[in-house]
Amino acid sequence: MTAHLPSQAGAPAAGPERAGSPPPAVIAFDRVSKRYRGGRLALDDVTLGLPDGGSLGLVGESGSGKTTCVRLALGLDRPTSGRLTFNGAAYPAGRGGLRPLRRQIGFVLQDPYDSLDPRMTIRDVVAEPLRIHRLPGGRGRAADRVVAGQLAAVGLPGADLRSYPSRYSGGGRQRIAIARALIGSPSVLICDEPTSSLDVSVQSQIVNLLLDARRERHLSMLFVTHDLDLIGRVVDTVAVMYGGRVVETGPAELIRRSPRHPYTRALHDAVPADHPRGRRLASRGAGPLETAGAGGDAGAVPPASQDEAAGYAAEPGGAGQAGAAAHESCIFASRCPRAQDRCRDERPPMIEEDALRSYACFFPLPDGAHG
Amino acid sequence: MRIAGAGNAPALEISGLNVRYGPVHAVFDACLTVGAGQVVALIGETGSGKSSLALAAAKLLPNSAAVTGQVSIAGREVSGLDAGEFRRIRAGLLGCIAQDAMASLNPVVPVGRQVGEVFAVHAGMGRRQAAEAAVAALAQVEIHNPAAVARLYAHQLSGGMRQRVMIAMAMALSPPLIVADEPTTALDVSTQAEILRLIGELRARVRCGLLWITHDMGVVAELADWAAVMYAGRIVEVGPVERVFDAPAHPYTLGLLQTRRDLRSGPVGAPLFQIPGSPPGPGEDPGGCPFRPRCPRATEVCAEVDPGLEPVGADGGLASGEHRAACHHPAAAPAGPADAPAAAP
Repeated sequence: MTAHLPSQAGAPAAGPERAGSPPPAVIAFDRVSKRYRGGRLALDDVTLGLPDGGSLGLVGESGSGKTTCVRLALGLDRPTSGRLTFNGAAYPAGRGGLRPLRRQIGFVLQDPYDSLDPRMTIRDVVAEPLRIHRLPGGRGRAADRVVAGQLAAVGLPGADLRSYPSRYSGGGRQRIAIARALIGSPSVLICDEPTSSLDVSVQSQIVNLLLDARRERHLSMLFVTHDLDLIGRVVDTVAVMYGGRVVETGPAELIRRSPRHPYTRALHDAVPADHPRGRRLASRGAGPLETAGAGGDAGAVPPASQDEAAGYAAEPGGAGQAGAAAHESCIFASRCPRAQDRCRDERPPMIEEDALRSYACFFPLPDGAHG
Repeated sequence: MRIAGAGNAPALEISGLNVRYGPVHAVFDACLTVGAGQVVALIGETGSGKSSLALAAAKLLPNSAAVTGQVSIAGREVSGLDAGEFRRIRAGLLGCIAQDAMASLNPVVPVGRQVGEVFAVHAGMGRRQAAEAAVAALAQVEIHNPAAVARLYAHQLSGGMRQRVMIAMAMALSPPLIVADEPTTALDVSTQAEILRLIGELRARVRCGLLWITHDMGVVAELADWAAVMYAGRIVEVGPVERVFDAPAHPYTLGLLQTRRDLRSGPVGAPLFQIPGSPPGPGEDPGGCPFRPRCPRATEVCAEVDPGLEPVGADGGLASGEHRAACHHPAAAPAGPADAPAAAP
């Protein structure tokens, strides 16, 4: 159903099956679903691929399933159904089996205050992957030299190796986390909201550091964020997630300039204005989803607030949360200004517009990219 | 519940405010006015002193903080009052909206009763009357089916709904001033949009001054009448919001605007615009202008003299002194990208 990437159920590996297919994926989700205990469907039939040497961004709000994707890609969780592969092979079970695979993956997580052990010196924090994977430079003098070099590469030259993470600001800690992620020379870098707890002026510095590292080391990068502007700047391909499903994928530039799925459009419209003269949210009238159908839709439009209020008794987080009893409908239908009966009765398949771009919508927005 | 005689006095008037935590000087000589019914955005990054300033205005700082200077709310001088005196009049003077509504609401009391408490304690209402007023207050913040929501607990509500409850509590007694500390920062972008829209609508109905702390220039653009930018404990620029966006005088303000503009419209894969360096840490004082080490316009005088907040460009229908900046080399005309701090190498 969601076959915008080559998917062959039961085949040993998802290989290209037609000319002009994207390069083979390092990490491939093939119709992957994940249900956590308690029945919450966190991922619902997701097909995605991180191309070798390329970059893939996942963007969505809380409950969209993007962090579940990260947990699966890191091997922290296993899919409930579907096939998840790393370089064409299924993720092995068990810690021992995962070790060689994890050596290939560096990761940077959201909260640098949480992800660095406060009782370890920054030397031990940064060298830890070398010790775990029994790589040279993990211990002793060699570690001092390797770690110092790595810290210099992330903009912390001359850092005291015996100091603790608490000495550093949020940006400094994130630099330390990046040094740790890169020290084992991984081929894949996974970043989960790496800058969302940082100040604006620090965010740019950290993102630029990640972009440089990616370019210099030819890393494949999976970048997860809730920030549509940011994702549009750092990756080649963007997947927009909502309620555990991928609703639209395409080149970052097209997702930014000309979204086809109404949810992508609504996300764009929820971003505050650039200038006080262009304000659109705090001025009276249209809510973000009301303006979503700027392609000339009329008709009653449920503002997000009403939907949110109507769902007050549901799970916290209401809208956008995975696991709604909406399997056989469009997950966005209840908030969508373009929704019609069909959207509530039938799940829209992923429609492949071309080799690069797909969306799961029966009534997509007109393609304005060429206008 | 307005305090008698408040009339058209500014919602908040701060002058010569200093906040010190031991040796750390967090706020330097701040002067700021929030006009009656106006929204002032207080912009700054971690450690800029924006929260210290706002908490000092609300007299919510712990005793360990040394606060000097004058604070008046709706024409009433409150800086001299002791904690007990202020507590008795606070609810009629100001409301607060915190960033983390989950931490601010009592988890074991239904939210309606918490809103009702404001009316019971500060407006002397009976139980039933307060409960009715609470439901009305929840309806005011566009909560549908407010009577049912009133019976729920904080954990049963979404983040956006919790923040609406906080807004309802803050506005319950129609205070002349509301202090909001990054109330949308922890919310999803679509929920933030709804809260901003709600505030926009409430402004048209309820006349209260709003001091809105944020680090997001987009939120400033959506909401503010005035913008005040803080850096290293100082207010470095203040002015009408359109003016500040059109002609940022301080290089730090310009850098913040440039950062967002570049993030929104720069090419895919290109390095992001960045302000080089980092702000001074707590208690660190580089001497002279605190932005100097990061500033492309810095000269000798910047190393020697900490610039005060001075009027810039009193033209374009602006009264003299409305737009002020603390910079020895303020941009005179609407500034272009060429004048911005250098991008990353």
